[in-house]
Amino acid sequence: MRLYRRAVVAMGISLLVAFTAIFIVQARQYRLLTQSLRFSEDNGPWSCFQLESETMRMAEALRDESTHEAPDLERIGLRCDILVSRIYILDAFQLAPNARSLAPHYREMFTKLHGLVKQIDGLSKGELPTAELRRQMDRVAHGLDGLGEALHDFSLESQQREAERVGAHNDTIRRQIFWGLLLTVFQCALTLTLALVVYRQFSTLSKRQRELQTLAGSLEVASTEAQQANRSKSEFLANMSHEIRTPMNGVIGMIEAILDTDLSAAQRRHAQIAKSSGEALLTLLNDILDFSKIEAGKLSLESIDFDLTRLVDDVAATFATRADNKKIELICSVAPGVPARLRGDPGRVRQILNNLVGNAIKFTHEGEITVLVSADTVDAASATLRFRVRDTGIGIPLEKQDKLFGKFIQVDASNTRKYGGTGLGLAISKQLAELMGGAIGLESKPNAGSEFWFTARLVRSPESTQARPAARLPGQLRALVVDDHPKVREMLVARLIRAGALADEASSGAAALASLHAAVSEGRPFTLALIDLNMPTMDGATLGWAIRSDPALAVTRLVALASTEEATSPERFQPIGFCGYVTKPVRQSDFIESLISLIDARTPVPRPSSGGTLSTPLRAQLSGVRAGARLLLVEDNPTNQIVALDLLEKLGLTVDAVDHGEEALRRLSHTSYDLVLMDVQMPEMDGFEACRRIRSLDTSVLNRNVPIIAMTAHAMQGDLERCLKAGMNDHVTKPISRQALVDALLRWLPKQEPATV
Amino acid sequence: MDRANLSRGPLAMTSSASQLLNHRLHPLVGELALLRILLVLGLFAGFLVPHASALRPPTGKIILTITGNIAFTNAPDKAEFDLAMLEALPQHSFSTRTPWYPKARTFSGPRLRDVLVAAGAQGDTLLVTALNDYKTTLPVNDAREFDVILALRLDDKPMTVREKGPLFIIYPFDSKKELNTELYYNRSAWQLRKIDVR
Repeated sequence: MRLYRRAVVAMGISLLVAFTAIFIVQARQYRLLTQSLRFSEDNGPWSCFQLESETMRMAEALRDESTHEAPDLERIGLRCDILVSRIYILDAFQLAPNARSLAPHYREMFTKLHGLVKQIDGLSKGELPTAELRRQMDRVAHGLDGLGEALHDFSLESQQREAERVGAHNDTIRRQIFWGLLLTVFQCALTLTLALVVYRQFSTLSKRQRELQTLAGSLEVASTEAQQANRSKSEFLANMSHEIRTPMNGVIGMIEAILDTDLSAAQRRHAQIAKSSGEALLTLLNDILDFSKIEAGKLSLESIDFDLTRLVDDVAATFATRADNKKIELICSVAPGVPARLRGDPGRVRQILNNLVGNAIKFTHEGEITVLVSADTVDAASATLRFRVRDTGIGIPLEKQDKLFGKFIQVDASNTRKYGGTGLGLAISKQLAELMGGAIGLESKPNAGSEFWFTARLVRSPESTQARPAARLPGQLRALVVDDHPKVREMLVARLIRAGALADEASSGAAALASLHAAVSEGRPFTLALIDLNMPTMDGATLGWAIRSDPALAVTRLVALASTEEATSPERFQPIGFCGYVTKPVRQSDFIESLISLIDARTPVPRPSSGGTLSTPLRAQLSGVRAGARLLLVEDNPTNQIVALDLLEKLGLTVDAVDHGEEALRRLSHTSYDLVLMDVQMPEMDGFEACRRIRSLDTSVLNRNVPIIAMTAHAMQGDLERCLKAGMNDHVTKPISRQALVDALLRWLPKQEPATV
Repeated sequence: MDRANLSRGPLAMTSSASQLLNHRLHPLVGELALLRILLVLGLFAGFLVPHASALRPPTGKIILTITGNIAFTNAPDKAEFDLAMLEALPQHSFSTRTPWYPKARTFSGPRLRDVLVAAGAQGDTLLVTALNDYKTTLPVNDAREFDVILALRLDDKPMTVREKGPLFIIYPFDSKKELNTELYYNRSAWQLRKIDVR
């Protein structure tokens, strides 16, 4: 292409040069022609001829006058003048008698002519007598006649020289014309080439245009394909999340089933946490689905009524364990101005909060995380809420803050391993906040913590206009909040005051004791003391013990502020004399209600339930089965294995678990089992293959007729048939329903033989 | 301005020409001078047949004879001029290059058109004849269009017959490019002797 351009430029320059050359040639030609017209030399021959002619006429005039009686000397003089003027003209053409170029004989001729002219001049003076004059005239005429031949030759030669000169001149002009022609031809060739180039350029252009059109066409096709692919991806994601949700539902369902049974408080809390975690996980799965929807711009918000306080409490509860584990205080507070009932998409609000709180916990190693909800603007129809999540974590450098809300962004790529995460969270949060008519942002300094905030515009639900009466504590109840953490104290005191109590605070056990005694001496003892169990110097339990052992303070009821962990073993602090406990982070929604119930019911210290024992109805279901029945569980997924093992063991069965088919075959070769529970999808050797091996005639297993129950993830008609075809006896679908499993076990486990009991 | 005047009639009279005539008519006709001028103007416009004799006869050697279609004569059917008569006309001078001299020379003399006016010339073509009987024709229009002079002097010296004198028709070659052709060179007769108006 560059070469091509150079060629075009070269051609242009050549054309310019050709034009210039043609101009020069033409100009020269013009000058040549003009020159010949200017001081014209071609009059030379004419002048020579004229000289010859005038000489003859001179001679004739002389002869003529010599015959007259009185010769006309004036006529002779005029003729002589004319003759001399002719000689002068030849002078001008360098043909004069004394010109160097003149041949000697011509020089002689001119000398003679000059001599004769002088003689005529002498005669014209009229000094001579007539006879002598006439004789002289005749003689001069004769002399002039004698020059006739030479003059004629001179004329002819001049003619010839002129012809040569003209010839040379013509040659020059011819050459000029030749060059002019040549240049014109060259110019034509160049012009033609340029035209070709232009034509080529044009055709290339149109070709490129065609190519572009083709490209545009193929791009359109590609775009359609990409859209198709994107749809496929979305479908895949939807399918996948469905696939994952199915077992997750199983897990949650199982936990719910456990919660149905008689559980100790700790077990119940565990189960509840497991359940809410499972639910959070489900929400996460939904988030992934949402992200693909956001990507496709297909995300739509729900519009349902919800209780914001409860929502914030739920978020706090979700993270309670994690915050506890890191010894971080998690404080949630909804400002009084915030409408209680709102309409919007609670799932999305929760999603953003989960994200921000999750991040805060992830990047905070000590201190506290505060979730604050306030209202930016509130009118009759809607409210713009501001959610703030403030932490005391590692912070984010200013230069990284801008990029933070992009997709797949993490503050520090090297932190990926330390802190994990997909990097999608903030991107989703940003999109969601914007969808809710709000914005998202942060203020942060490295090592000084961060504050992430987002706003959302929510509709006030009709119920909120006629506000539900907030729970209130019995009139003028005095309450003391004992916590080493100022923010926790501040928040709890604020809530108590809002609920109608006269609340006070103490930052340590000693201060609390002082306050309590002071109140007693004032005759206005505290009805209630909320005591943080986890305090430096004097912990909650010690303080509780100190209060309870002082009869003067007997009127004060003690409520423990326990972490999730501490709440799992209330037996460690309840016997001291706490009438109950509230888990931290303290839920805002039912905090007051809990307190009321603790005070009013005057509930005795809750006794721990028997705990850890299986509820009778479940065990009873397998009562017909022979005791000590032995099962082999073949399951590759460790989680599923544990869940199944737990369930089976609780049913009173002896279970061995293996990871895959080959291991199962080995086990079956040296141990006799009453039943095999077999996952069908496993690496190495799948369930179908393992089953065929067990059933095969040359099998190494001890009992090739052992009942095999398949566990399949797909609840499809074809699965059962395939299982039966492979030699299995029955199948249960995942997520495994407790009842379905029990039913299957009852069908295939050996029955209790009455004789052996 | 001059050009515009000329383009109106065959040969409009310039103020200098009328002065010349006025001067000559005065002793003859006296108070009728104005009338005569008008008559002359009418003749120039081509309304009347040339008839009157308005030129004084030459006193010196006749160097130019105008014949043919002329209004004023001082000899039978011709107007004859001596050097003094020609010098009495307004003299013009310019320097130009010519084919006859290697360098530019200064030529001076009366304008051809003034001479024609003096003779009351009426016609389209001038047949000019030189002493050596060289003949050439030139259109009267040349006299109107170009400031053609009848050069009497070369470099302020009278031209002898030997130096192409005594009269040389000179076009202002250097003032007009178009004049530099063989055509005008040929019209530039020297040793001019006679003009026949046709």
